[in-house]
Amino acid sequence: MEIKTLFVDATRCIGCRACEAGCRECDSHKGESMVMVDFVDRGFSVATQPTVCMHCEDPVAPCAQVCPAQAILISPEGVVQQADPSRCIGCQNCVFACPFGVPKFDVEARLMKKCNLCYDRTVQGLQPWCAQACPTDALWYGTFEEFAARRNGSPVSCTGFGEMDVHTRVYQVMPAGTEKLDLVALLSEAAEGRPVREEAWVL
Amino acid sequence: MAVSIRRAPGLSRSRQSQRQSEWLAWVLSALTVVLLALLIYVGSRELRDFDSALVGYAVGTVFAAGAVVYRYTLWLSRPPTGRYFRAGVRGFFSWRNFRRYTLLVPVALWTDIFAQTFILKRSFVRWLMHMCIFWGVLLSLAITIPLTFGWIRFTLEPPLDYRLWVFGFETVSFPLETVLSWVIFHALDFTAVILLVGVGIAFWRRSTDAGLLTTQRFGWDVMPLVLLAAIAITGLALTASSVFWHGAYYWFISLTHQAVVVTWLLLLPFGKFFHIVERPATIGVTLYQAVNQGMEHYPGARRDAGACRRCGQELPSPQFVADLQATLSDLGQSYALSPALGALQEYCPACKRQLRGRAYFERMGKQFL
Amino acid sequence: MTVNKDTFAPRRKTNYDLQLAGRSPVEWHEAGTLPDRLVPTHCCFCGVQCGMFLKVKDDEVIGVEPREYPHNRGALCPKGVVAYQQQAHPERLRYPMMRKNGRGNPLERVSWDEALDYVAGRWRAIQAEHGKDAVGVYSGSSMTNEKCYVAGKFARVGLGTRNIDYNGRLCMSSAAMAYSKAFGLDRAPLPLTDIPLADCIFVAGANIAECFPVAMQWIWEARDRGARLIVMDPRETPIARTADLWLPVRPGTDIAVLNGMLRQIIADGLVDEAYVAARTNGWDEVRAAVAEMTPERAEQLSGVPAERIVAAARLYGRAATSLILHARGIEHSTHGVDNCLACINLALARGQVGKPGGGTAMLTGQGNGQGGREHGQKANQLPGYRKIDNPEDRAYIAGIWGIPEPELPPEGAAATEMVHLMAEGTIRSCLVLCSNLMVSLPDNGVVQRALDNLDPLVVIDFFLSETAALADVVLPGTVWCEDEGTTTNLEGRVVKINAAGPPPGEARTDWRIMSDLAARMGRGQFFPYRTAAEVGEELRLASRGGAADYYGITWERLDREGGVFWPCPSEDHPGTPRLFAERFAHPDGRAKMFPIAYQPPAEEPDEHYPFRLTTGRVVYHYLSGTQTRRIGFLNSQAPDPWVELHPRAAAQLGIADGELVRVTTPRASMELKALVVPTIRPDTLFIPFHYGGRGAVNQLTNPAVDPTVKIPEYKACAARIEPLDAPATQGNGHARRNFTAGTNPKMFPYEVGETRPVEPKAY
Repeated sequence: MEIKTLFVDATRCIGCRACEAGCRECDSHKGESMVMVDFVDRGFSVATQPTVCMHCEDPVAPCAQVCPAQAILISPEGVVQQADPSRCIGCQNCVFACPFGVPKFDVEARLMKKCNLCYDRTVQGLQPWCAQACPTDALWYGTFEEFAARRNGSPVSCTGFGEMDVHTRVYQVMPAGTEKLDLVALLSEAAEGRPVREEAWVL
Repeated sequence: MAVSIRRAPGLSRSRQSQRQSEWLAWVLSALTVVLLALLIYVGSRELRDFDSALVGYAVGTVFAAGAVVYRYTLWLSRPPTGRYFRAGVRGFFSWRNFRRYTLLVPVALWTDIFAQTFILKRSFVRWLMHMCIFWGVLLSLAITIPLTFGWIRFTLEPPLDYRLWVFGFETVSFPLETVLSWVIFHALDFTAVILLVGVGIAFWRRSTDAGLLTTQRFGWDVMPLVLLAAIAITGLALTASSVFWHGAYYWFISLTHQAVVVTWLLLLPFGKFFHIVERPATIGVTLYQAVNQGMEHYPGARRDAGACRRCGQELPSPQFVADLQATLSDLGQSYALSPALGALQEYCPACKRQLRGRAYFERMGKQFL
Repeated sequence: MTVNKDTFAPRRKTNYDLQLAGRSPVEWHEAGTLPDRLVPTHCCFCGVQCGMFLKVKDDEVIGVEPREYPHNRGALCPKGVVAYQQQAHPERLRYPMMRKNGRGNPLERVSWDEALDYVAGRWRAIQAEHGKDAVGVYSGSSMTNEKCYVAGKFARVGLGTRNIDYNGRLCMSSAAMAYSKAFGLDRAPLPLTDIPLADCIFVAGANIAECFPVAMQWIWEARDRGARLIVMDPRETPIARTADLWLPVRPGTDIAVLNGMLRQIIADGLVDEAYVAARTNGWDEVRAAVAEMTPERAEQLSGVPAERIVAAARLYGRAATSLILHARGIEHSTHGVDNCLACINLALARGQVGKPGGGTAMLTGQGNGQGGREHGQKANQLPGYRKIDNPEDRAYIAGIWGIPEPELPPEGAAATEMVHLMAEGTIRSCLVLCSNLMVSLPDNGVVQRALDNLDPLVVIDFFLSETAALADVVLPGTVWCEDEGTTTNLEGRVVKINAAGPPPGEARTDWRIMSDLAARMGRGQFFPYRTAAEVGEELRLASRGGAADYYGITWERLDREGGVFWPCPSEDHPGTPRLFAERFAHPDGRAKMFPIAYQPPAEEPDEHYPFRLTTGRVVYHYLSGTQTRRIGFLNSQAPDPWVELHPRAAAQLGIADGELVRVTTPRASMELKALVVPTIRPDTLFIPFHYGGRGAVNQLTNPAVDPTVKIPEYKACAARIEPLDAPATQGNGHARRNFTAGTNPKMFPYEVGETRPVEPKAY
């Protein structure tokens, strides 16, 4: 079976938050978005990045593994589900264990909430709301082959957190030849200081 | 839409500790079965009070109890659960905590177990539905189990009195053909009606609420309701048969009822109903959070929050973060980034996302792919 | 986007997720309700007019579903997703209101008869005493063609006044004039779906990512195919961020860059001489006019490094197919027409206009900005893009309307002039519909005086906008999904809007209100409409044979064919997605080129007002914000205006990020928060314009207008910014720092191309 999944290309993101607005339209969590768009550093750039649940495959779903109540289930297709309301005991382990900062916690309802890849839509052959609404294809839904046929860049399913590599069902798009998004290496590079990025102002 | 679900698997603990837990689970569940069997034997006065027509229920219950204990033990031996369990027990038996949070456990029992006010926050109808099902199931069990185990027995005391025997001991007697006796003998019918009301609301919600329609799964959400409905309806049919239909179909109905109830009992440890057993753990978590985290779920809780390493936004307590890291480590995962950056769990979710974004854009700059 | 809700209040309750208690409850009670039908329609907001389905339950719109339509392909921007929330919005106006006890008293509920009788009575009195033209109509473009048509007809037939104009004057008039002058026809000459055919896209003064997010997919698709992108904007907007070349132009000086590029294209021998000779007039004058604009001179005027201007010229000039997309950034100027003509000159010199994927295209801002200017609510136009001073056009329309031709009034005042006529008392009463003058017009101190002068000011709106709040009579109108009709999007594609439910309370749709008013003015026989479809039929006839010919566009065709492009003269005509392939619309079939000389903006910085202030949009809001500021999700993202300034300027002035500052121009000053970011020129300030009252940047903007089309110069005026503790001074206080080009030619040490080294292979 060909696997359809999300491809996240933050370079295309214009930060419009159509994905958030669309996500909020889901009947199961009306008014709350499970996808998040963040400024990476507004004091420096207008670059934004959308974050959906990455649906970790290896290690499989850290959020589910740290859940004391086994409330987070995983579908046979590898989609990590939102916590089952009957089981979630509101401990927030998942919120802080998730390496991508995805799960949300509703304090009043004592319930964890997160993206479950709109399975009500995807089983009908539709796209998840976020990818459907996204006007820039920064969030794009389809198979690996379809992606490769129409887009540049290489989809990367591995994010490195120091010694841990997390392989995910959702891809991030990076330049060809990149194997993983190595967080620590890139952040240390950033910390070492980069060449002064001052625009060429002529006044 | 029927999406089948598999449980979060692949806990990468060492095989040995896994095997140990399984052993422990077997032993505990065997002990439970033996203990229950003994209690049945004793409580029914060497089976003299035991109603052989109800043997299916009794066996099913004993088996289910064993399975629940097995599953519960395995569940508690999972690193995250175990950690909360131990901390919860420690917290519960601490005199200092008792003084500081005297009301916490009673309040939590009320809000989380008996009144379930947290569901009220989700929706009133949902709460009403759940209360009906909860009390319907719980009261039915409370009546059925002692009956089928032979722990409760009624004897006719001439001229017109009934005597109640509990665990082989003689207790009160009450007159026949009064409102009281009628209520006692039809207690299960009342609980069945309560249950049916709850199940009815649930079905109504599940067929009209767009949100539930998008997320429900047949095996997980609908099947349990069907089972409950079947139990309640066949149970009421038993009464109807004996009261209105002069015992017609009684044998058939009773067999069906027994089969459905035993199915339900056997599914208890596996499906959605496990949360009945699981849910009280929420009190342990609440206690843990109050003691270590200062989450303000309940009045008077102390706040002792940590702070995000990057933005300073409030995080749960350092104890929580340390426990979580230990749990992850038990699972063979470590998100220690570097000496300069610390560990990922020391950041708030928003900063985790921004860190990743920073790394990504460090690589991408202003490129367009 | 440029801001979001985290920018100023990072710890607001609704900020991170649901983590913090006290999150706002679900805003829409129908969460969980199942729809009983899906209504196919289009978005009510920007000019892209994305297709969408509305989910309807018992005549209430409860949600939205994506709709695959040729130009939006199922995508929606955040405004589009939540647009449906207007229909059942608690702040909708549900009944007519008047100030029963005279001016200065609150608006009170009245019956329709009372309100309409009062208005008609006042108008009769005013017109009897001061002439027909003393009553004006100020209309707008964010409504269907049918409503726009009725607005024009109502003014001219119902009231007999010459003074009708519309808010398109404030956004599209300069581009419209430029296209009419150069090509003889005012429409973007190609559909959005052609954008991926371009090899180079030059975006001039258009923040497409925020203003037309859904159009971005076509630009990104072009880039996926290898197209290069050049963006000219004083701010590094999301589209400029990844552009191959960003031209950080000083606001109001675009002609320097455009002419500099054309000069370089000529110098490099990149002019398509054959095309220019065969299809244009006036090339020699243009060639001579741009000769003086050397890259160095252009740099001096515009602040864009000469290297980048040269690089842009080569990137643009060497592309086989190149497309210029321009919008308000260059059009909101006292020389807006010339700015557009300078773009057109570039495209014509490169022989691009008429080529699939090439040429120039204006990005019409309002939902029906294109259709709204074609059907006779513009001061100088009659339906079908007919001219009001052309005897044949007048005779045709008078015939359709059934009035003698001399009864048809002549051209009236432009929207920006109407305000002054109101202020001086020439226009004594005005009907305002689909417009929020108090937010949208420049220098709104004058607007306030003008509106106060009207007796009565009559406003049709569906929310109590800032303008409606000043009105003597407020008539409740309908939102877009409560009436049928057509709109024409920025491509010239006519699409069908369908009704999803009835108006709330006693609200009536705009054309019905105007028909009712006409009846009370004794002109009811000219407005016999029972349905919008009847208006549509009359509109088709009225446009027949005009430049914007809708005669072949029946409603039945629209949803069947994915929209139809005008001109479409007959029902079997397929419509015209691409214009000018063989000939231009001038009688000789050739395009006209106009020599454009550099002109500075009307107001240049001086020592007291050292910055240039420019204004613009944010993705979450639409126009004056009357609609979007009432929708929770959108408003929570950007609830207040802010001023963007560069960290270097901020450091010199001692302004911290997030600090409350005062921005002053020769007209007024306002206080707002500073957003200190390096994504703007250090000599430029930016304030978004969607806000009302003390947050309206149009308190500050310059009312100077383009001499021909009267479009105001929103995009450039001189300003001063200072921390709040600086003594408040109006007028000629002392500037703390002088950021003018004259005194500080090179204020900061710099080196060209640090950010994005210009790749040598590209040129």
